[in-house]
Amino acid sequence: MTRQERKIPQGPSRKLPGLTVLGVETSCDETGVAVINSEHGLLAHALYSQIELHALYGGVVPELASRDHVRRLTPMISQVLAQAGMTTDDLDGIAYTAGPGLVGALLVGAATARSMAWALAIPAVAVHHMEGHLLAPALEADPPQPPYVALLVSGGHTLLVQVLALGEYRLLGETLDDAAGEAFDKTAQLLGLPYPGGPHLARLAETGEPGRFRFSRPMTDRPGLDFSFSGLKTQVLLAWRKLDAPSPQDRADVARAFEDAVVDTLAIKCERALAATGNSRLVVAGGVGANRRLRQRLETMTAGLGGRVWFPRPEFCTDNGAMIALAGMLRLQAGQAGSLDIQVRPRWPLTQLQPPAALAGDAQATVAAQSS
Amino acid sequence: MSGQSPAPGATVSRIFIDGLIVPAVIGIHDHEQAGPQRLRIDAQLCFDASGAAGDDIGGTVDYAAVVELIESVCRDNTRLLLESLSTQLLDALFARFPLLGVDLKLGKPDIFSQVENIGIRSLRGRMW
Repeated sequence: MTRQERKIPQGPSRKLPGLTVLGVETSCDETGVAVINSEHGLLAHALYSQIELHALYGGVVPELASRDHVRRLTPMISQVLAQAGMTTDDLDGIAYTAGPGLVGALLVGAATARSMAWALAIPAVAVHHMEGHLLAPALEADPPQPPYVALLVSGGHTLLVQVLALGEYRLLGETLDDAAGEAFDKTAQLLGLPYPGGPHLARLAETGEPGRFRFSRPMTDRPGLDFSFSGLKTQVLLAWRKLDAPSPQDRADVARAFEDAVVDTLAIKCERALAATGNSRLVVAGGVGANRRLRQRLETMTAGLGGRVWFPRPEFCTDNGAMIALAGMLRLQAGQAGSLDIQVRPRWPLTQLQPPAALAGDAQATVAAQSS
Repeated sequence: MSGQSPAPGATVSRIFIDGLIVPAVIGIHDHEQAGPQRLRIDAQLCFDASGAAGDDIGGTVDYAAVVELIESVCRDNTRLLLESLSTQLLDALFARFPLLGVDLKLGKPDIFSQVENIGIRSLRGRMW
């Protein structure tokens, strides 16, 4: 395909110094696209959420998610490039989420990004979704310097990770059953709140009376940094069933007690992780990182230790294209580029990631393949 | 690293229709075929609302047109079963509007005195 035949609408060209990277995120039910530059930071980003569609079914329907990504992705790439005042010719690389996530949804982003990079003769980088979350604080001014401890809390994950350097992550602890966000959503469902219930539950908890109900702080009575939230959900169920004709205030009080238990548990484990690694810098990412009470609690805790906590702004706590563009840009800067394969990994342990230097040979192979 | 942050956030939106009452001839019994009875229709229709950013009805799904289409399909109904009418309604809605998913409830509120409403519910997502 020649350059004239390309279908993506072009605005005026604006080649910037440094590396300009397009990021594509399609691992679940949100389409995220962003353009970032190594000198100027984030230039433009857009997010499209399918959440209302999946709410019809009470959860994400993978096949509908993939197909809606197909419809939305290319127009969004055009839109974001136009917002940045750029054309595809101004890009130096394309980063896409290669896993973990829903396989069909991942393939949409991977196939689009990899083929576009091939057509433009620029490198493509396969990014680990969770690495994107780990690095997201660097989208803000004054980012933390590694090493730091990161708490990733979302509907799909609850992890404590030590970030030593780009691509060097040590898993400190993870959930043995439900993710924290999942526990929020399931508990909300039990209390009759609409899907996805986590944010509804947090709002309801604002009006709840603290201390009227008390649920345990799971796995805090023993050493270790793993989590377990499924038992907490059962405790809420039992307490809820004991109530005769529960009033709206009862519901708010139960929500408050549940939120307090989760927030306390997360804070206790974070404090232990900081102590165990000798760090005083904590980063929180993932959807639950938008929870106001969790933010307050971790700010107090880290301040007490003479440390600090970083939260990306709420739109970068949840899935987004900016964090993928950032992770891809950092890896490209370090000399990495992926092969020409279109390969995704629905399951992909974060600890299997390697620093970019270990992959530099691969990049040379790619350049050779592209110039031949 | 800092940078400007233009507003993101296009989403799938949902139109809801609660308790649309339409007269229709439907049912396998003779007394149902003798004349129209009331159908109660509740629907939720998902679509990509990014086009509505310009505050233009052309960029979104016009719910007045949705109601009109549902009414006309029901009025012209020759099917006996709610199931077949539901399929026909879903076919018509997906053919006419760029919908991503529909949750459609068709009920006969007058058929049993001891039941407020009874009928069927169908969910359909758009494939292509």
